[in-house]
Amino acid sequence: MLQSIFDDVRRMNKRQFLYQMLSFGMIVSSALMIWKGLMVVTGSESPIVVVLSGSMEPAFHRGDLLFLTNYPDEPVRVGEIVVFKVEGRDIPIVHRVLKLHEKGDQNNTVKFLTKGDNNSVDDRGLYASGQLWLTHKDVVGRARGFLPYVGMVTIFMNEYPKFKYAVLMCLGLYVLVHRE
Amino acid sequence: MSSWLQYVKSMQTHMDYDGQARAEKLSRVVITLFAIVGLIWGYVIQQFSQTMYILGAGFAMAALITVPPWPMYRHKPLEWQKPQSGVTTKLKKKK
Amino acid sequence: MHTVFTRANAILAYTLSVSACLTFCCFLSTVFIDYRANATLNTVKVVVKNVADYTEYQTENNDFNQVVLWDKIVLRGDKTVFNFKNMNTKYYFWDDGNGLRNILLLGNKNVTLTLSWNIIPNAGLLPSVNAFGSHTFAFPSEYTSLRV
Repeated sequence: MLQSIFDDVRRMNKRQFLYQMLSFGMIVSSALMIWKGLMVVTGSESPIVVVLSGSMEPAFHRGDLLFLTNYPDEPVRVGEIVVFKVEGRDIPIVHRVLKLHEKGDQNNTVKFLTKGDNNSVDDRGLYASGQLWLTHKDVVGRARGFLPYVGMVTIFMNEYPKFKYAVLMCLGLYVLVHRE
Repeated sequence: MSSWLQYVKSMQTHMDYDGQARAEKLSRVVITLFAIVGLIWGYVIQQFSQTMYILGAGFAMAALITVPPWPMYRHKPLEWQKPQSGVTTKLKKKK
Repeated sequence: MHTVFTRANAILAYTLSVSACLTFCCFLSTVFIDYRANATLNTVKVVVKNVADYTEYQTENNDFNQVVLWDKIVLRGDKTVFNFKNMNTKYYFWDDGNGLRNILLLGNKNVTLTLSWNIIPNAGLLPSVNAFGSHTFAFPSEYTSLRV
């Protein structure tokens, strides 16, 4: 089978090889376009996140996929599930809003406290030291849609980087080498 | 060990063209049928997981039926022309 | 479809597309349900519900406050009729500041208790639903140091 793959390459001329490269570039750039387009449509800096911890069980398990929106004119309310980033932690956290206090001034200053459904205490211990409340700038998005298990692939890839590179290599090689 | 390898290598893995077409059609039909039945059953008992299990069974079934090159996919082998002697020499003459 | 590998690949790809299609059907079947109408919490296709009892009030410090006082995770198949009396709150009713007593000084009963639930489906949207009805009351004007 391997031989037949490389036969394909050997039979290509320069023009076909360049065409192959171009189609590879098209795949990469269209994926990027979809991601950036989703960012514009949802207003969130990462519109799709994978749940990485079991702190929201039994609602969300490890490997579930969440679709986020972050429209500035939609106020945060208690009971919503927000995804937020804390200084000093690079992984965003998915938790539910427990308390919320809104100033009601021009800036719509709002501060809120979150808690994971599966945690027995609120999130003050998770925030940066000295931080008591979250504000709008910490929020990555609000969970709007839910798809189970699909994110498992990403988790698996992040846990076994070698597997990830192997898969990426195989896919890249396949696209580059395979003749249409 | 080597005899076992020989046996594996001597196994026929091809399907004829008609068999390939039938295998593809059959796999689609089996999976789609299981999916429809699963959806209806899942809707009746309101358990989406059951739908997925039935689809998985359909996948296993389709894999069993169409992935191995069963003899039934080899009923219409291609009929090659008989090797003709003298063709190559004729061609050479033309040149 | 000429080798075992391509056939297995084709079947797997087709199964995945069909499962995506089925998931979309599952999502469609939940979109048009009006969960408020089924106030018994006995709705279909629901895996987890998080029932939260929360309160809204207004203080001098903050115009709008929401505090969850009680919540409960209701799994599919759990008993969904609750009858609680003389129950303590699950979370402390702490204000941001000293606003709770002041509520009466502002002259209006504006602590409102409401019930809402958030539904986690198998796949699809995550609707947040408010129950019909609410209860409005005022706190006493003085804090007490003893149990009432």
